[in-house]
Amino acid sequence: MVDHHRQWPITDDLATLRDDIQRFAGQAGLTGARLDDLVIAANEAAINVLEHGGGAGTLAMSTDGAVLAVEVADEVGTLSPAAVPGRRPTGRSVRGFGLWLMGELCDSVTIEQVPGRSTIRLSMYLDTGHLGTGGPAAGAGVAPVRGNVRPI
Amino acid sequence: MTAAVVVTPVPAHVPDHVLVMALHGALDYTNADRLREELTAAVGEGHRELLLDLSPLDFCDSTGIRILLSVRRLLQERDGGVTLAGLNSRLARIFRTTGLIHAFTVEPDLAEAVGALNSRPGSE
Repeated sequence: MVDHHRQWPITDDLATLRDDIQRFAGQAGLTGARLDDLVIAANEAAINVLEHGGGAGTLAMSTDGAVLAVEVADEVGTLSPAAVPGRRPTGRSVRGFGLWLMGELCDSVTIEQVPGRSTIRLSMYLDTGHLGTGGPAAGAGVAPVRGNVRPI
Repeated sequence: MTAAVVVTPVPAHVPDHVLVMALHGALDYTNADRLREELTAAVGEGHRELLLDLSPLDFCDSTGIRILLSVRRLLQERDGGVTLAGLNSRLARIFRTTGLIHAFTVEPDLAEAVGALNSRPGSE
């Protein structure tokens, strides 16, 4: 039985956190380069918490079988949705750089800001057949949720 | 277990101004500052080219790339640079996506990198 939700505290033990992320994402069905992309992106989000987000937070992963989501929450809430750069930052702004990288590597990146907490949400579609068609919502009918066959 | 990155010297037949080192483990936010100090100390005053064998390196994040860029800046002031060899697929992905792969000379493996450095003009 695959866990559908797990969460871990963000500490300076990023190596163990990356192992946890890789294991959950692999069990959810993410493989190859897209698995690498998610691990790189989630690691950048965790760095953001350590460097700019007060140094403490949580990383939660969940899946409904169609989408794998990583939510990285800090405990200061200074990161705003406007912080995601549309183009590659050219200066030394590391925060902008990490956020830009997440956008390049994941299918979607959103930021939710409430008083005292900012949450970066990274999403990956588990059925890459949706890519290029505007995502699961595109086209007629309901997107398949489970049991779809993926080439390995 | 906190991520560890270990720097080791690599014996190689190269000109005196070239330093050859290998990085093992994972280079990330938690150890990047220490690696910067170690690499800067190893480069010292006498080298203007650094060849890094990254084949034993499993992971590198944006903080790690910044460290490598700062060493490159130091060597560029001496008209040198940094060569990276043996990137695994995950490392190649982050270097390409960031566009920073163009900041370095990249060779498929250590042997080819050594050959390329030896065949450069002025490498006697």
